[in-house]
Amino acid sequence: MKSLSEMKVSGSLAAMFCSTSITSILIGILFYVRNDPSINLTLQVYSAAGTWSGIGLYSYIIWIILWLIGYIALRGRKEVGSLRTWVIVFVLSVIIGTLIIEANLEWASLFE
Amino acid sequence: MALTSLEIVMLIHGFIASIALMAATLLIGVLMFAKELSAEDVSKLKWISVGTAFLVFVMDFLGGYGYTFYRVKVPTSARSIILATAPWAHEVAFESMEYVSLLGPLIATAIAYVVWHYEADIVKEPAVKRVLLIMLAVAILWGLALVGAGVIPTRVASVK
Repeated sequence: MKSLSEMKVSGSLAAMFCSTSITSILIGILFYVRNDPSINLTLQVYSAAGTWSGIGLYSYIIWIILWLIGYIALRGRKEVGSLRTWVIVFVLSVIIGTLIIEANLEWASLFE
Repeated sequence: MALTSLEIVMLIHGFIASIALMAATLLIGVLMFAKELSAEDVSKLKWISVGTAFLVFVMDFLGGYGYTFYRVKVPTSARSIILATAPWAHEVAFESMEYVSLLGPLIATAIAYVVWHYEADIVKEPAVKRVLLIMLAVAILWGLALVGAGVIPTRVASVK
């Protein structure tokens, strides 16, 4: 019976955790910069859906590319960190991505 | 009063959110109570997890479809009504639901991949079981928060 830190993660699983974690934070970052005039139009891939369309589309494309690159680079490796490390990275990235979005909402509207 | 096709699409959008939360709860139940899984059980769980991940993608897509009608810049659109009556319901609740939900397919796919990767070890290996329970707990809490954020604006005005 192995503990979380003793349980090693294979290259293919690490590629999934890594690409997913980076993309979670990327979604937050793209939301943060979405109103910047230099990037706003680029993010409006489908103007009827505004920047939501570009943030979704670009993030998912980058996610797939990162996953493929990670998979090709790490697939032969049997140990790429522990399960404990990767689950911490995964959970933190979801929290960070979510908090970046939440921190950039119009919370002042609660008092209008 | 008959439902419009857009209202039906938005109902399906909501149903999928419920189905995804139920699937995650089912998986938690299996992890907590099953000691061993047959090859057939493993196969079912793999397809349930992959099917759920696919449905979460569909849910996001349907949400985006409804969003195009929601944000139309006319005084009668749901967004205009909400901004005029309860701005926070759009600025905080709706925006949270719309943008944070983009993480949903990532979380659901990660869970499905772990189930697919470890197969029967998800119940046999305590470390794997614990990791999956953590990921599922995060997914359920995160999903419930977004469902709540999504319900608030529809109480003020919904797309029709």
